[in-house]
Amino acid sequence: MTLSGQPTSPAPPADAALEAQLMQAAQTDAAQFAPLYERYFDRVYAYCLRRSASTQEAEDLCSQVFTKALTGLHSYRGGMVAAWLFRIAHNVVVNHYRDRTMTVALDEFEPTDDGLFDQAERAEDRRILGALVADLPSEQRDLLALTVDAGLTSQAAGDILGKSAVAVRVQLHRLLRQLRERYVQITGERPS
Amino acid sequence: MNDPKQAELLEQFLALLRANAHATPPQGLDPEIAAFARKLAAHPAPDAALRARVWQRALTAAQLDESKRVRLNGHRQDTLMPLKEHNSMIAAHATPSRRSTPWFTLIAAALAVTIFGFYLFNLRPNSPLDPGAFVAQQSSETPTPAATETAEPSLTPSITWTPTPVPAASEAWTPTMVPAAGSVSITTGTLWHPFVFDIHGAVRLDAGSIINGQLSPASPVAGYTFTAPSDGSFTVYVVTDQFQPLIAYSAANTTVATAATAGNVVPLTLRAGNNVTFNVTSVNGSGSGPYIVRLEPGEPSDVIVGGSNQTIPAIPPLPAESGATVISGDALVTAPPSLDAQNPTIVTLPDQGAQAVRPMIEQSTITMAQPSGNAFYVAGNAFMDFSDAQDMTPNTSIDGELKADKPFALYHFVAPATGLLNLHVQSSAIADLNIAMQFINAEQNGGGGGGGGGSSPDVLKQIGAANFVQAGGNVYIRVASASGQSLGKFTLTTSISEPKPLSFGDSAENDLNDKAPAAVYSFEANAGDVIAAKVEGRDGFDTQLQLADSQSTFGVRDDDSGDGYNPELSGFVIPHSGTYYLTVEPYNGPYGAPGHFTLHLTHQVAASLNDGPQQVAFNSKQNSALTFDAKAGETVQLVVRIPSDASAYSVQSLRIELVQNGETVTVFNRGDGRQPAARGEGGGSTLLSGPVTLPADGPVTVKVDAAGTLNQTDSLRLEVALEK
Repeated sequence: MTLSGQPTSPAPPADAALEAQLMQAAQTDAAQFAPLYERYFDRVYAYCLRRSASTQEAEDLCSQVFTKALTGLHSYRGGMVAAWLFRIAHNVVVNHYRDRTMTVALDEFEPTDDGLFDQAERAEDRRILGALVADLPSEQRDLLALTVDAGLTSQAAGDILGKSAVAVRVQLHRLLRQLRERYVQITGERPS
Repeated sequence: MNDPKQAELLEQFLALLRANAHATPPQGLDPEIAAFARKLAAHPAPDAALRARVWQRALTAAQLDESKRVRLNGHRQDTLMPLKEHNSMIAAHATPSRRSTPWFTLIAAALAVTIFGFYLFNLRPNSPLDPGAFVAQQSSETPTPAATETAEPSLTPSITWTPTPVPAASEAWTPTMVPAAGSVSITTGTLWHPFVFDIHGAVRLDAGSIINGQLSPASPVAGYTFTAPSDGSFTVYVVTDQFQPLIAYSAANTTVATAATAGNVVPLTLRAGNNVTFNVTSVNGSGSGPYIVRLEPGEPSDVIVGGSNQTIPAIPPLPAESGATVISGDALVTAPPSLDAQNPTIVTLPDQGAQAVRPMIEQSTITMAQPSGNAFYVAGNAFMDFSDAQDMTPNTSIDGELKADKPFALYHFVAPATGLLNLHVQSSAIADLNIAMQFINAEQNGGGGGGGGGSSPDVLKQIGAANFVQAGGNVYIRVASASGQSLGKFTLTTSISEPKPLSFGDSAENDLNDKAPAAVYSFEANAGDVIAAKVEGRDGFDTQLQLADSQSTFGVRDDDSGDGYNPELSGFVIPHSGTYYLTVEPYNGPYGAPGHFTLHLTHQVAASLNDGPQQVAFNSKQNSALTFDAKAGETVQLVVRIPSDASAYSVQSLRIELVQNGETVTVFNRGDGRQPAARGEGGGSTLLSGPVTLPADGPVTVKVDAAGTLNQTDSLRLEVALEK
């Protein structure tokens, strides 16, 4: 295995076949994984962020996910790269949080170019939502992270969670309804 | 409402949101659910720096993992490799500022400070670092063939703060240094021994601390404690040539350790606001000898260099035809001591096992690069000897030239006054200017260093740096190019900004520009004083504020804790009586953006626990202080609880420090910043209760630091009380 270089200009694969080709190439030269990294980084990071206590921890987890991916390229046996990658992510997070209590950092205020008021409002929203999600059982958090944050289909998420696609779909819908009700209770506001 | 249908529409909408955050919900989807889903799916986009950093970390870790597996003949063996072990790329991809700071300037500055800082560190008298000893240390370990290992202990990277089990006696390993047969790498075999965590009498560290320690057979463990005081990370380095050091700390009632994996330097990263009490010991438990504990802001620097994490932007050409010394295999650890730009050393690493290379920085500043494959180019400039430094007059300019036969220039003067030494270099020829400074005080027993640099496409290149110096001390300055390749004439200008005295309640205004690149103020304070200092920049002028004592034994820096981008220190408890210095500089450093500011210094009155329980409220950038009057020998019960009108908190860390007459009376420390210290079941829950016996009459300052989480829209508040 050779490893070198930076992820260069992203050239997202156009389809699953191309992804599979890239994976095959990456199995002999891990640097070829860079385009896939570019394609999936945001989603993996979003997944880790949803499952972690802080941006720092999300970064740590995200690094571990891609480390496992790079060292486990040989374990890819075809099919959707997203499914393979998020199974790794799921395992990394589950192992990380085994026997631990999840918390949400107090100060995850991330400056943007937007106005301070909007920024603060969104930060507050994120904090409330983060706290709501943190209170969920691990399985529900995972469901949310895999579908909303990782962007997996119900079928792909179900494969990882050991559920049918229909079950995932329905449970996710119920979960969002419950979360929304709690959100409204806390804020007294309806999401606009 | 039809749940399955709605669920299907929700899935469709989530797919649309992935492509477009402003996507219109599919017809028929409950609009309230759609709005909530949109809110839930909204993420702050990770920036490019994070993307690059994660990639580099993954690559490096994957390399290490790969080489370990090969080394160990198929027997997987996890090492105590901190996740932050190779962060050069992090520097190279520092998060782009919200401002328009040229990133390359920051990179080069950070690199220069790192390299030079470490050089200074090693230049100190009686530095325990010695390459020969390092080699001896490596070879003195008893190799145990990895193939004989059958145990598979679950030692995980310690910096993840995952509770790590201490192997039971039956699982205990023979200390193992995996032999690097045919490899130049310094191996990362894990050494371990049953370890008893002992924090009795822990020595308090502050940012910037450099402490000499000594392990002996009678005292094989030493304790230290530190609280990362503000934004950013801090790294503890333990350096020795006498034993393989190990830092151990307790988390969740489990001892966690991180050991030197390459070279006898072990880093431990502490994140902002973390409290940690840790032990320094040796991996085999019987090591003895001197060591140095050094605490620096930032992540672990490139003390240990390995894999593909080289970041020197200007990679010199591979001088294979230039008579370079080429070494390979184990020869690296006995590499010739003289490395210079004219005689670079090529180190060819094998395909597997290129884990870590420790440059002999005592001999040279090292620039390393990985031009291709596993070949490292190690070059350096033999500038470490300041004996031929040219004397110059402070507060003047001097012209110099970098030439091929001497691509650096050295200057020296005695500081005529205490203050901020501003250094400025201009050149129309040198594209990647670099300046470094060493200061040794008049007593020859302390000092500091710093520097900066960058590459610029501008016709007129310039860089600046500012460091605090004391009257009578020796200042050494080195001007060079970052690559060692860029040559030409330059002008060096030095000036010392003397501190202007301030009293509590005073405000001071000033302009910062190229003629006044930073402003420094002094004030007198007594131990236990609680102070606040804040800066207001005019028209959004963005500044940084630093507080240091007269001996520079600590430094506190703040950037944006105040309103907007203004820095503010609040509730800071003065650790010892004396003169303190406040330095204001532009957010991007001296000679950075110009502007006008006002500094306010105030003495804060801490609420008294004699008047009953007091509440403290936190954000992440502010400490809270309380006080009470004590009598010598009196024992009081200190109680910290969640206020009765608050809901449940999960407090990640809680640290209470009692200071009387400038001395720490006691420290209550719960949680390591990652593991919750306590989870209150609701308002009124007690988080901590402990007796304190006061040694003397007089006021006691109670400094409360905490971090936590809450499931409500309240701020984190704690109630502190004294009970007899």
